[in-house]
Amino acid sequence: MSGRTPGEAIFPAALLPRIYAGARQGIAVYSAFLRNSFLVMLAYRLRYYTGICSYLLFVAAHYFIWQAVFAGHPAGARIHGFTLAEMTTYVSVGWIARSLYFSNIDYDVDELVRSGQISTFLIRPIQFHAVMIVQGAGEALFRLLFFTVPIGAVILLLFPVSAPAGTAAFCLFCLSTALGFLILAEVSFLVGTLSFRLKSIQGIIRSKYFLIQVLSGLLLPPPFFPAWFQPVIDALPFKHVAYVPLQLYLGQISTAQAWEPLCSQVLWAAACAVLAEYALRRSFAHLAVQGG
Amino acid sequence: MIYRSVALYAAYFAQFLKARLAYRADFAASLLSNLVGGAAGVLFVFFLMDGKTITNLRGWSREEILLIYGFSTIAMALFSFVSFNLFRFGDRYIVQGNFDRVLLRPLNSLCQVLFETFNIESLGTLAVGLAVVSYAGRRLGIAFTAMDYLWLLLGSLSGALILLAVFIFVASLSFHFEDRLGVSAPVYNLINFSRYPLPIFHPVIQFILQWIIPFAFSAFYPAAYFLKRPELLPYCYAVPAVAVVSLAIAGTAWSFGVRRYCSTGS
Amino acid sequence: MSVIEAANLTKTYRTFQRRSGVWGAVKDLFYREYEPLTAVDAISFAINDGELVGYIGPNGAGKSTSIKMLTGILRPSGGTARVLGYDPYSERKTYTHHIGVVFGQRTQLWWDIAVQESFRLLAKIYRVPEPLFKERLGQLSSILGLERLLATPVRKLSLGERMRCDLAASLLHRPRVLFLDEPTIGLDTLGKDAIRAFLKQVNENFGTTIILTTHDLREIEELCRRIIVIDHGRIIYDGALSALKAMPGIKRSLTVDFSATVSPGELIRLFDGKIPFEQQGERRASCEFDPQAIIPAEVVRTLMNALPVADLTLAEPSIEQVIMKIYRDGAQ
Repeated sequence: MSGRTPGEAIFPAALLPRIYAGARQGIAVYSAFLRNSFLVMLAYRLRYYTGICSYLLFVAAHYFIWQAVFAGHPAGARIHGFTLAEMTTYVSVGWIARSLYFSNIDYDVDELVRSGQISTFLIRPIQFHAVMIVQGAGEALFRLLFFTVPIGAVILLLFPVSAPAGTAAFCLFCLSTALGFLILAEVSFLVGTLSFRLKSIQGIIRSKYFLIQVLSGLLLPPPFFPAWFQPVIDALPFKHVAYVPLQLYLGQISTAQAWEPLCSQVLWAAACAVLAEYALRRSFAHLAVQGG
Repeated sequence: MIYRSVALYAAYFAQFLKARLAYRADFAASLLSNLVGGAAGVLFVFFLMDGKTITNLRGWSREEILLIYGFSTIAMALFSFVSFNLFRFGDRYIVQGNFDRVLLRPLNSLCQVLFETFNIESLGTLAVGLAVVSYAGRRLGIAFTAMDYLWLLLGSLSGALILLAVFIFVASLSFHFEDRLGVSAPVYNLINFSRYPLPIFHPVIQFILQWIIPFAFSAFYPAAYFLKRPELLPYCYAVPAVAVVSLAIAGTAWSFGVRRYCSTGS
Repeated sequence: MSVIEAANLTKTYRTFQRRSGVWGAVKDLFYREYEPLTAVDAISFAINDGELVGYIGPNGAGKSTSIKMLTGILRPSGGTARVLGYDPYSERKTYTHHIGVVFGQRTQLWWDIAVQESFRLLAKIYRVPEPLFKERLGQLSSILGLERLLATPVRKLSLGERMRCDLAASLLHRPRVLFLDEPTIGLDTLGKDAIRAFLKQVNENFGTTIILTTHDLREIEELCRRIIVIDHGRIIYDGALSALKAMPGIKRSLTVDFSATVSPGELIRLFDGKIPFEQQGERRASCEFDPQAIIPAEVVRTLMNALPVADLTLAEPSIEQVIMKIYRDGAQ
């Protein structure tokens, strides 16, 4: 109900020195983006409650499916190397971790391109790629505090989840999940850059969502996949997002051998980042030629 | 009157199709990715029930589960053909104010929202669903008589309408709460339970899916018609009735919401 | 005969304030505080067939809310609205056949399809028979210069082009009443002129009753004989624009150029200090005075008789000044 007097609008030029001063502080700007995405997330209060609900439903559905799977086997049986208790833990911890590493960077890039706001990034002295990843990290931090912790608490309360293989294993699991976040964030950014070329990438984002659920091993650990499919899993970065951290949690990879998968996670993250940056540069060049 | 409306919404569809097909590469990419998305879900069931180590879920065979999954995929495809706007209803129509425009036209407001966008790409998912049903049906030795085809049509259509009714109801909540996203996400995720035999879940979940959010009638019971389990048949025959009742409830909730919108004017 | 009647039309909302900062957002997560707000407070007016009325007021005054009640989007919390004999809210589906509505901020056309396809769809919605549709489309597109745009998708149009198309769209079913909510917002002078000329033509040729909300007061001056001014949900002026300018307290401004040097003292003495002249250089002076207190012709005659006047400009009050004054008075 404000704005009664005309001429209140601030002349945008007056803002420019402030923007540049802020930009020069480098890190300060990125932390502002981080804080901003944090606040935006908080503003959606319903998304918060429903988000927790959704995760609970995913875990519950798969919990009962695995119960039914093991019902046909004698108690304590191992299927493809997993007991029922391990499988329950796998599913529960897998979804708890997902609440942390999952990001909407592809949607965000698409939104910026679609609305033309992308140009405001181009005129500012900041790296678009870095901003989006940091913003995704801001969301992840938010999720850690407000989603992952309560979701974890509820799931631990409702389902029989085993403790991690050890303190070291748990630390490695956390580190590995953070690297998983980075890999997925870069992949999402890569998908997001498609929006420079295509009119709508919603369909692609959706199918990426389902594909990654399967290929990351979140729904089904890779040992359950048929032999002919194993090369596909190994050739893609996705098992490093969900399966590898969970192997560390369960102690299927010992702490002594952990350096190996962690290194390949780092390499995959770097490879995805390079590919994403390349795609972005190509897209910007495309934008400059074709126009918005 | 009904003829007029059908002709009008057919014109809506024709326009939408024209606009969508104008970008062929784009459309092809979406269609393909929908196919892949639909297939990814089936892949999980295929890999899980490998037929060697894991042959059944509490007595439900691999083929039976695939049939239910296929029915669910078909119902989902039909449902998502017209449901896209329901998921962004709170944001696009209420918060951004597009519902004003809807109210300014001499047409039913719900039909306008449903038929302003069509998700033609869901044909990809439909193809996956049909393929899975026909595969599972053949393995189960279903003859696929004319009667069976009729039921396939009636059952999956009813299933889609039940899904539609639930999400119309959910979208109508946006009239009362100004949040952009609404509660559609967790309700959508609840559909996961409808893709498997109902009895494998906890009784509380069974009760909810049967009597509160009737997703059990969207795929499991329509598919059960083919599964030679006589104890389930009464529920199978109730499927069309459940669809009609759910739609009636959803329609009432919608008009109640419209009245509320008109008196608060978000 | 009045086509629009509002009697004690009232609208009360429930509003909620988002708290600031991170902690405020956390608090919002759990509970919110609501406050009632009366956006439109018992307004009454009647508009006759064929009138072109300017409906003006500052942001948040209740303009849009009242337009929404008159178009059937909102249900009044009190009072009644009747347009063309219909109750807009309860008879919405029939009623909307007879009105046209254009929101300057938001298009009614389908974003991705060509303009003419949108028109065709609207013709189906409003049941305009094909031959009639063709005739009207030809007519509208020649007046508005749409021929070139018809095959273009709406999203590729400029704002001015889009607005012209939106106007044509709202007139395809030849409504008897046209509601325009800021139709020229964001347009350049050329675009504004085109739309003004068109509205005048629609009003005169078709006898369409038009209600227009706008912030552009030049538009009001050019188009509307009658204005309704609303502020804080209440009507603070309803009447002819000309009468508004003659309201007490609205000043005239006068600028005089002399052919010789005139001292400030001389000027003040001439009018016994009643007019506060300001010297602007040696040979120019200006002032503002209340025409109700001193007759403007008298001022001019006195000046001409007593001093060597070379040139003289007597300016009408600008509509901005007048409106600002009513807002101020209305607020007190």
